[in-house]
Amino acid sequence: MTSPQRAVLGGALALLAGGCGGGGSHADRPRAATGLTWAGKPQVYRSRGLPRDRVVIARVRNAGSTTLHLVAARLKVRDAHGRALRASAAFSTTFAHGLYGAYQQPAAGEPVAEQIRLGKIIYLAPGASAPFYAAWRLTPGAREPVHVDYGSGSLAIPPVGGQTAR
Amino acid sequence: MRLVRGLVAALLLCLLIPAAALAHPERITSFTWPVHGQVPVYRTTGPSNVVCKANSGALLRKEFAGNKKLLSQRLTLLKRCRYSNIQAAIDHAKSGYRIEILPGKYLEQPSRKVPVGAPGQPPCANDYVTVEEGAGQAPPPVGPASNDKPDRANRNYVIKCPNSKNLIAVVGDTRPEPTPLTPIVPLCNQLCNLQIEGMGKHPQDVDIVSDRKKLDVLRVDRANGVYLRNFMIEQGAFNDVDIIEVDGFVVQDVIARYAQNYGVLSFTATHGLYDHDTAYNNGDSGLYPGSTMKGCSTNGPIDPNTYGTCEASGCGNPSIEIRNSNSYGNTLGYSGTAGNSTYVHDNRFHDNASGLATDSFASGHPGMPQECFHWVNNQIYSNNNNVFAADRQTYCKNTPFVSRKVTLVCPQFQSAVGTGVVIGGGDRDLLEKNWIYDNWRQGVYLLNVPAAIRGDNDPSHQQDTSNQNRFIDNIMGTSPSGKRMPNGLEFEWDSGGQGNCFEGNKMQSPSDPASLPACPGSSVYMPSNAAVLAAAVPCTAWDPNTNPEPVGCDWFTTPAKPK
Repeated sequence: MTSPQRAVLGGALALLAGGCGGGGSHADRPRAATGLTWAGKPQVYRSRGLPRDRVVIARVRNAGSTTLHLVAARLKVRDAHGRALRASAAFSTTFAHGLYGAYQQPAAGEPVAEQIRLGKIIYLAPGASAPFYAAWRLTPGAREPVHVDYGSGSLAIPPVGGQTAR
Repeated sequence: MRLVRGLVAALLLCLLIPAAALAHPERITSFTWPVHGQVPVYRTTGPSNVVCKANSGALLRKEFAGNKKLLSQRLTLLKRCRYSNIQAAIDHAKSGYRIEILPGKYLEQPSRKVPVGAPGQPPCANDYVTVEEGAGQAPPPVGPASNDKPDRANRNYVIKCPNSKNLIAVVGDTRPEPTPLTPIVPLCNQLCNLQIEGMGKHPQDVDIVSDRKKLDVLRVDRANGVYLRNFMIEQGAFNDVDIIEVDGFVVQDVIARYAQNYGVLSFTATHGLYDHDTAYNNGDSGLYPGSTMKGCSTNGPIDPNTYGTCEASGCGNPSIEIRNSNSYGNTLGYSGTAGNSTYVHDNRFHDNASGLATDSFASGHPGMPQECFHWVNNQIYSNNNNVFAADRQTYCKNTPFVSRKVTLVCPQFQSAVGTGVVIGGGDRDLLEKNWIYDNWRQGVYLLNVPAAIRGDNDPSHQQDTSNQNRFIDNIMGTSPSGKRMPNGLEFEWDSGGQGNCFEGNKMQSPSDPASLPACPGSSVYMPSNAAVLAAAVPCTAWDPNTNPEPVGCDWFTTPAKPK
């Protein structure tokens, strides 16, 4: 990366940190009040060998007018009662792993490019779409349908059919 | 707002551009180009420096008790011994020398006294380069923290402070690096064609033991033509043997064990041979020929330091050969991100979590996308070693490498326990005539990996993996002795890509999809089956510190033994 590129990157990050996330931490909430929709039909699967686990494979689209900055680790999958379920999510539908070994993570956290590459964070421009997955475990008593809560809005996940991940 | 959008766009553009600014957690590297080297030849004559320990004579008399001629030769060699540390013998060598190491345990105490260092701390406090832009400016880390910053020692560091991070260093290029972010093309101007050989009867007779702090036990850096032979090496905090930016090397009769990551690793290297090596109990893979030069670059016109594939020109000759080796008890027996044009034959990969993996998963590995391996006549079996058990993950999380039980494997990356072969985003790979059996999840796992996953967002590259792979005449689910030892599935494939085909394989178990295409396979690029993706992608969330058993992922449960 050249010096001018580095300067632009630094400036963009600084501006994002100060403004794009809404109030408080830039990573806490997307700035747009609404905007995330499914692009196409989400596919929901039962997990192989894990009877309470479910996975949705989909694309999400920013239907709003401002860039969405989302942190996958802060998304919540909630049941029909609004209770958060044990879950994970990322803006990717492909298995991948990071550059750093499990016990050799950088002290400053994974670099932003690495987080974007792995779908841990996303800057989703208006009208743009991206791959997305979420996995969750239905605890006893949890009620379907579930939805993905991304802070300023939510995405309803259709009920699982007969499909099993394999 | 327009300004914000513009800067966001600029940010994204910056993140897309700098392949050179993203890297393996290693300094930025590139291939030697043009490349003129060859696999070096073993020598028994020529100048040499001899290394020994106080007990080398006694050990020789014991090891060679039944062979008076060899004993006499070795005792004559002992009389020439002038060094008690391998590094000292290397430092007094010239190109073409042999370093002859007599039996003993080599702790390399002078090197151990050199601090490992860190950015801003001596030695070589300022010889670091930030290889990943944006570090520390992203949202709070999702993963765990450590003291390892994403600043990497640059090439000036290894020139000026070779034993800070390496127990033993062979530095072949002493030219100062004027711009570490864009290093000059490799060449060897000293210590070229060095031969480092243990002179014991067996590799174990010369044991090179690190302090579990140095990243590499033996680093060969731009020292072309190196020949490593007949020793054991262990306990690297990253790699036991690290061969980087080297044109021409042999690693023969070497035992590599107990590294935090890799037993024997080569990176941005070519004209290499791994021969009769043994690798076990390493936290990532036993053998790692990653970022290997593409065969069509080694012997053709394609510049390996730019994007390109061998689709039009053909795969060319192998770049690195691995033969007659045995890799077991690791997380992976073999792995190679961008492990191109490897010729892997007559080896055993067994009792790992997964046997072999090659992929286009990660960013910053020169030589993407992965293509053109030829793996033939290997035994790939019983890779059901579950290194992800909950109690082990807890121990590993709470115990730094320097304090861990030496023999215990702590997995550095996630892997599907019970898998023989994983190809994650490969092209033109040929898997033929192997014995693949007793892998309880699946014999072979073939996945498509879009280029964006490796940080390449060029729209024209997004379908450049999982094309034209061939699986021919493999014996699935039966041992060489003829015993039925089934895999869970024979082949698990997400059905993505173009030209993938399966022919002549003898199978015991079903595959998924149940019907596999014969050659030449589909003529059009097919999308991946979301049901297969859905089983794998939740495993991305694995992190032993925060999420040791991710929801929706069954990779870390040992599959039931197939009947």
